Amino acid sequence: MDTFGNFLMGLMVAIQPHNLLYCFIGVVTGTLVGVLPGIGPTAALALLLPTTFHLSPVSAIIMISGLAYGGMYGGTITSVLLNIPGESSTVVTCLDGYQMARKGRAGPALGISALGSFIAGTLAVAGVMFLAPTLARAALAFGSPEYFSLMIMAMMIVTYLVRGSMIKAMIMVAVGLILSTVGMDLLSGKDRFVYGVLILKDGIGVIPIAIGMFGITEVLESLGTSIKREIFEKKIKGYLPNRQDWKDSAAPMTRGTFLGFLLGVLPGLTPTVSTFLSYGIERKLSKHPERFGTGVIEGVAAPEACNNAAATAGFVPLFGLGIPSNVFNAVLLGALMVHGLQPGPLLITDHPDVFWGVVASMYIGNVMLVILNLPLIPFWVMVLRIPYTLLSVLILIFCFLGSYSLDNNINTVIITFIFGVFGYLVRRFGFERPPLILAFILGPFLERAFRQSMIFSDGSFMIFVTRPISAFFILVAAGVLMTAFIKKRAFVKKIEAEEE
Amino acid sequence: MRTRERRDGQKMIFVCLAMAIGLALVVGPTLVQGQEKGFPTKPIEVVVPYAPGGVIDIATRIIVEPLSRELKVPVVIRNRKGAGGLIGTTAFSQARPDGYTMLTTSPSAVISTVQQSKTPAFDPRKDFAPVAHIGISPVSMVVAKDSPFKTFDDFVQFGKANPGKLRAGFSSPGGETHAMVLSIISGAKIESKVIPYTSSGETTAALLGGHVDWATASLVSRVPYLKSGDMRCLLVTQRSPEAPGVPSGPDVGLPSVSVNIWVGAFVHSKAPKAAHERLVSAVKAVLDAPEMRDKLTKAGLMVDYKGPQEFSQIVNKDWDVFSEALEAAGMKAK
Repeated sequence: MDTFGNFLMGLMVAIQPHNLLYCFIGVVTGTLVGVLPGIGPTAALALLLPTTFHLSPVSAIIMISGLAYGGMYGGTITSVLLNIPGESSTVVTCLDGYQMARKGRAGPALGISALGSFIAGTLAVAGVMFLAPTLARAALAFGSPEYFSLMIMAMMIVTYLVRGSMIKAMIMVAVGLILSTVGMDLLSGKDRFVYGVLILKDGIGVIPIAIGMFGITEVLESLGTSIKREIFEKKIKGYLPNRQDWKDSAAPMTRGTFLGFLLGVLPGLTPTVSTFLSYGIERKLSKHPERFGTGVIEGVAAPEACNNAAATAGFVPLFGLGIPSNVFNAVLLGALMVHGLQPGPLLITDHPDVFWGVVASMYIGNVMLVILNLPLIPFWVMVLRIPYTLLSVLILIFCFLGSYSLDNNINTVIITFIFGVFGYLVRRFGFERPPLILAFILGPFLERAFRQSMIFSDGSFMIFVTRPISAFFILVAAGVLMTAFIKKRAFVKKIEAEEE
Repeated sequence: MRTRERRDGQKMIFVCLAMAIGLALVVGPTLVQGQEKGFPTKPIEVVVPYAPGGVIDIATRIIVEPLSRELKVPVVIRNRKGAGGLIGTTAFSQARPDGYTMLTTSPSAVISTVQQSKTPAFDPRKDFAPVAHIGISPVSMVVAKDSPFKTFDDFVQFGKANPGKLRAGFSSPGGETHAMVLSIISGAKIESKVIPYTSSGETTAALLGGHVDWATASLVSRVPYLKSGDMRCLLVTQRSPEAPGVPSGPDVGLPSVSVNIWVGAFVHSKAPKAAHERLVSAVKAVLDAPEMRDKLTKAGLMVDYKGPQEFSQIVNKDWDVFSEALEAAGMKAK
């Protein structure tokens, strides 16, 4: 039980009053930054980073980690209340979270996110504790061909995301993939679809697309309908998840946690992909898949749990090998270096207090998030009592400020607006948005892994089936595709029946 | 009575203090202005063409604080990331050339991106005036611990005997690590597959997982793996105490394998001469402080101060190396 002893030691480090205070400051700042437009999480980190120079490394990293959890939850709040995903990993939360809010169930949606994240965090911390070094090495078996096949498998879950026409969904996938090719080509550094516009060199971001297609589209749609339409039901049905909610979310949350943890360990995957997968899987397994997207609690619980587990599991490659798997971890890496810690395979052995202190503080950060946020839920829900005529203006302002804060560039705001209009047209003609966003997120991963594999194999496709892990994913993908076509008919009938 | 007297005394002290503060507030700024009539009289902006958190950003953050004290005006950082640094450097080139906008950058953002651009917005050799070469972070070539190559010669011999067998990994096309890969291949006349990754983390995973045979990355990011024995360093762009005994490119007869990731500061070349000179002396004074060396080393930068003239030569040399490497990779804009 050496690991457990180490964890206790870490806990001792983390619950020292001053560390608790830094954790608290981090979580509060993070939540604020996540909720308020104007400062993005990276900007907040940049602001906070110099203040940590004077702290001890452990305290500094605890505060920065707190900022990460807080920011993540802040993103959830805006996703649920306003349909604005502040972070790419909360895009999926919009799908059912915002619909829940419209049904007067914003409270349970926020509650299940906080508690679900807490439970997932707890399990993931246990996973990190016992498996970190072993898992980190095992994940290295994943090379480009394996990532490619995994992405193909992930792409297949698009078939689960679709509610209506499969053809229209495939069109959206194609559009998403094309959009994802905009920007500098990875291999040659050449510009693609840039047309001399500097901002397009980096490609279009996920966040501007998501903010545009969810937040702005929502407002545009409300313009087209009668002003008296009630967007939100006035009656707020409870602030916390009830027993039925828990019953519905227990299994999805557990699955989301496991999925998030497993995929989070892979150094080449962002949590966003995992959350989409988790949502797709829940929809596939659900007894009433046709109700996904109309505000079911499973659709919030599973991806939120998954998100948190993946973020926690991201510490495995970070501390095990010094490999950051998302932008935030990359900044954390920089912070470690400023404090004279060399991130890499030796970090756990050389600085056990830092590693276990951070692991324990992740846990305490989760607890703090729950304690802080549960009492705040009624307050957040009150936002929805604002008349929609006013709220819609606020949403627009938040959307524009939020996209401006990404890189302080007015062009990003223009892109966001364009996608708002695009999202509106797309909805008008009966296309669905999630397949596009999923394809857009997976596109660059898919292309990169594919082209890297082709360099390895001198252009032979056999590389994907001769390597066992890769072959397995391809097989699963094929299986998913088959079942989708067989079951699709019955499913479409069910939707039609319900809509009549 | 005595308490009352004391209270009066305290009141007097307060009144005096308040007056003193008021006076200081009114007179203070004018005194400071009187001291320095010339440059600078308003806040200075430093453009960092990268997102917060990288080596360049952190190094700049470390320097900004004492620089602000030295110049007696606020010095603020503006992160303008994107397009491999081109968005930030272009914004800088278009800022008003009054000396109140500085740039801290690496060679790739200011040299490589420009050479890849069909319609370059600026030429760093003409439009940017060097202020200081702040420090360097050498690039290293590494292999995994179970690799058969013990020295760079082993590697070259294998590469010559087995053309096309070797696989190289690096991150960011057109960057310093890419330049090292290409100049090793062309300089040592070997053949190797070249696999671009998107981050140095991914490159690490590929090397440790045995998916590539050799990789290039900044030396400082490799140090932990060298210490743990997971990787071996065979070549560096400049000898460094971090990799004792490892030869540099020029040491093994490859003079072009010498492009370091340097951090340098520039102002616009049209900036007033006095402003330029003041910035040069201020940055020098800041970097002369011994604790700065310590702080920057921790952030992964070997402090290597060079004045404008020497720095200008480095810019010219690296311009030529990049030009050749990008030409070889077919990335140079025609």
